[in-house]
Amino acid sequence: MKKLMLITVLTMASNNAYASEKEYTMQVHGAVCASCAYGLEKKFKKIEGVEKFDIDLKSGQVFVCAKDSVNFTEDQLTKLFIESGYSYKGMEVKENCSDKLDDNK
Amino acid sequence: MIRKILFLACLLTSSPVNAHGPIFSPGPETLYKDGIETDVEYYSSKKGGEIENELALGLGYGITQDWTVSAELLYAAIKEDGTTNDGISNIALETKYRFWKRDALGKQDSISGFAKAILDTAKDISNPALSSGANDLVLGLAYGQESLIWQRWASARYRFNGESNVGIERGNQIFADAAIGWRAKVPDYYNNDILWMVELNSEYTKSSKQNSSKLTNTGGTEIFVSPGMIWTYRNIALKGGVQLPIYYNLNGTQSESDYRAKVALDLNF
Repeated sequence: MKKLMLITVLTMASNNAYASEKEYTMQVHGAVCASCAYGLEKKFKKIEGVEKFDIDLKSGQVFVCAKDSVNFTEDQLTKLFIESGYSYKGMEVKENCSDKLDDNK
Repeated sequence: MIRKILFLACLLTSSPVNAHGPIFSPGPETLYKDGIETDVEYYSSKKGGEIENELALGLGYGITQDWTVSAELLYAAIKEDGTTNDGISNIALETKYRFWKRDALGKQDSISGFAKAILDTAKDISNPALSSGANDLVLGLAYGQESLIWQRWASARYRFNGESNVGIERGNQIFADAAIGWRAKVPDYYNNDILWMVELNSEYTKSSKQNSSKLTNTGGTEIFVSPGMIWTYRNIALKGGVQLPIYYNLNGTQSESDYRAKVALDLNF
C-alpha cells in the first residue's frame, strides 16, 4: 500500500513537472534565413519564462517552450513578429514541450 | 593627387548593415527593432599603381524594424606610385528605411531607400591623401526578393561628390547593381548556412572639373562581375567576395581597376 502511494505521489509530481511547460507553435511568413530569424529568438528569450526557441524555416513554424506562467496573446505575438521584421499568422498551444526543443536550444 | 582624390570616390559605397545582403552593393534589409549590428570589414583594391587597403568598423541600430541607422569608421593604408600613407580616414553615417515589404511562406520581397553621408573627417592633405577633402552624399534604392533557396537583389545609387579641398569639382557617380544568391539546401536555424552569390556592379563617373575645365583623365564607366559567399550561424555572418572588371570605358589615359576584394565579419545583438 505504501509502495502504491509512493508511486502515485511520484507520478503526480512528474506530471506536474511536465505540465509546468507549454509549447507554442506559431506560423510566420517572411523568415528566409537563420541569421534573419535571430531577432525572433532574441525577442522571445527576453520574455521571462521562455526557455527554448527553434524555427523551421521551410514550414514557417516557430517553436517556443515556455513555463506555464507564460500566456502569449495574439496582440503580443503580432507586435513581436512585426518588430522582428516578419508577419505573424497564428499559433497553437499544447501542454509539455516536445523533444525537438532539446536543452541546447 | 588628382587621381587619388578620384580613386577615393569608389570607397564607402556599401553599407555596414548588410549581413545577409549583397557584398558590394546595398540590399533592402534592415535590423529588427532595437537590434544592434557590429561589422568589421577588410577591403583591398588595386587600380594601376594605386593600392588601397582598409579596415572598417561599422555599427548599426534598428530604431524600428523598418528603419536602421549606422555609422562606419575607416582606417586606410594607401600606396600610389611608390608613396604610402595610412591613418584614420573618413566617417560615414547612413540611414535606411524599408518602405515596402511583402511576406509569404519562406519568401520576402522588400524595397528600401537610403541616404549616406561621407564626412571629410580625416581632412588629410598629404599625398597620397586618406580622404577626398570633401563631404559626399549617396542616395539610393534597393530591392530584394529573398527565399529559402534563391535570392535576387537590385539597387541604384547616385553619389553627389563634393568639391575637394584643392578645388576639384569631383564628378558625380551613378551605380547600378544586380545580384543573385543561391544556397544548396534550406537553412536549419541551429546549423551553418552558406549562401553563394554573384553580383554585376556598374559604375558611371562624370568627368571632374577644375576652374570650370574638364579634367581629361577623369570619368568613365566600369562594370564588374563579383562572385562571393556568406557563411552564417545564427547571429554571426562571415562574408567575402572579389570584384573583377569585365568592361571599362574610361576617359583619357586612366588605369582601369585590377580588382577589389572584401571580407567582413558581422555580429548581431
